[in-house]
Amino acid sequence: MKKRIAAGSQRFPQPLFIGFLLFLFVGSLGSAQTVDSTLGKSPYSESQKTEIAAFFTRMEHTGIPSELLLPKLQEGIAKRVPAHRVLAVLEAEAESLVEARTLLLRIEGGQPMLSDRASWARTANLLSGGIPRDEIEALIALCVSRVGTYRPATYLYVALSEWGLDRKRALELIAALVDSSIPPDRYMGVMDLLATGRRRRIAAEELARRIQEHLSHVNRLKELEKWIY
Amino acid sequence: MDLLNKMPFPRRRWRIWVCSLVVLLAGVSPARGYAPTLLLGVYGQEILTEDQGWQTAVRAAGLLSWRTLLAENASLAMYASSAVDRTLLDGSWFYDYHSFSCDLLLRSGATRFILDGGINGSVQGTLEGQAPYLRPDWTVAYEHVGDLLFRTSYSGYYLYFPDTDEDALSQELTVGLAWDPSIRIRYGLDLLAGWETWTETTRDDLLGSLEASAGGLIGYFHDWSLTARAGLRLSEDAEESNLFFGAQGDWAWSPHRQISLETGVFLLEEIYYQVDGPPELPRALSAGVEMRGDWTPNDRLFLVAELAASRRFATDPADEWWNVLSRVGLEFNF
Repeated sequence: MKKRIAAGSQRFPQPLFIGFLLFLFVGSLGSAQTVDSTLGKSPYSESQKTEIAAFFTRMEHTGIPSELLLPKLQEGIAKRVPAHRVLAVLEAEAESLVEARTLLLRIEGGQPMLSDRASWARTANLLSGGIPRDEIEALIALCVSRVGTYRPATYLYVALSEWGLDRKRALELIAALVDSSIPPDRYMGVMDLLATGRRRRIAAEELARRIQEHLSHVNRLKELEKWIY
Repeated sequence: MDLLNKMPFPRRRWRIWVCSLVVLLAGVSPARGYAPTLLLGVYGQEILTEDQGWQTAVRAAGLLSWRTLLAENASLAMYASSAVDRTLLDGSWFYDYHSFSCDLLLRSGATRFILDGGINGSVQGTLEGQAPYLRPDWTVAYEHVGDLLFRTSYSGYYLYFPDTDEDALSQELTVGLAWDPSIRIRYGLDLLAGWETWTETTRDDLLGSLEASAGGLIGYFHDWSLTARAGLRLSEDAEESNLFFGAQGDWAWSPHRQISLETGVFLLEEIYYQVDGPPELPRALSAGVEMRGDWTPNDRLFLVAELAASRRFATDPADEWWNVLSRVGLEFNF
């Protein structure tokens, strides 16, 4: 069974409210934190800290920026995960990042997306979440000319797939969205259109086709409600 | 019905204009219809009311909706629905409800025009206790889409009761604004002014209300909305003038295409006043909750369950009521 990754990685599953508290906690640490200062606040032994710091140094040498791995370390410390498990998670994360880099570079024009750290991390997140490589490649290819659409488009894609929309149709819908003038932060509204259509007994694939047809004529998704039902 | 003949736009000319418009738009580009939605359902239901006790009934219902694009900037839609209820115990009765409506949408740049018209009614009366009636309604709306959505509309209906002398004509003007700063939150504000007249008696009412709403998405699969409304009815019937305050909340959740859950709650407080009336003002508080869920294995067959309950508390005991409805059924989408 594939992991649910629309809301981010769930490598350390915990109840939602604890996650929210951690989000606040991790956010309060600030992005400027370094590996050393993060480890300094951890309960780990000196040898464990040295081992983790060495791992980060090794990764820097292979071109994986510390800032992409640091959130996992902070999350593990906040959840009081033992050092050996945190290290295992970091290694798996680094592996996904290397794989994501390869994938991004394989797509023509993928370099700007690789330069955008958030897009790189998101690609790794999709890989570790079990999304097939060919689908991730298709998403990258769709968004490569508008890097800002990539993350919202992938979150929507995962949500559409989880909801049960045919994946080919989901990709076509996302292609139409990326080409439209709908702001990327509004993409998730597509899910609402589909759910409303379902309540009106319109099949999701048929509704997706209608949405695609009208996207070029509107600036906001809400307006589609009048044309597709 | 005479009032319809006195309307400023003669009906025959109105039809000619609409037909001309449709033909004109259809000529711009061939009409492209969406696949129609045709749904048939059968349900079993239990209704508990204060005066009738338990009633067991079966319901057969049908729905047809269809939209066609007349041109790139115009579409026409029609909706028809029908429901027939038959009680099974304590003497069996038929009840029915039918509706039909059409809407025409036109857009040009940031401007939208909406013409909406329909009719609904019941030949035998409805299971909820509504007497046989016929109710044509109409709406003309204009919208401007910008950072704010501005909407103004004129709408009305004529309520015709063949068996009583309570026919009424209602007309209202609405002005509203909607703002959605993000996909997670949207706000709306509507101001309404209306006039209702009972055509077979001498009663005229004026209505004014203000409605504020908010809603949005929580995550990808939850949708919520809250609406608050306050208003005033000024009636020639001294006992019907009232202030009213209402609130409604709705939440919908569909985590997978096979499942949908919806729930809604409402509250309505009415305070009746008379200029020379009793010092203690008659009041009424209505409250209700409604839940609906369905499951489908294949987008064709739907298993539907509904539960609703409402109650009215009033200073006049004769004005109090309550009811509970539960319904389970199967729907088939052709």
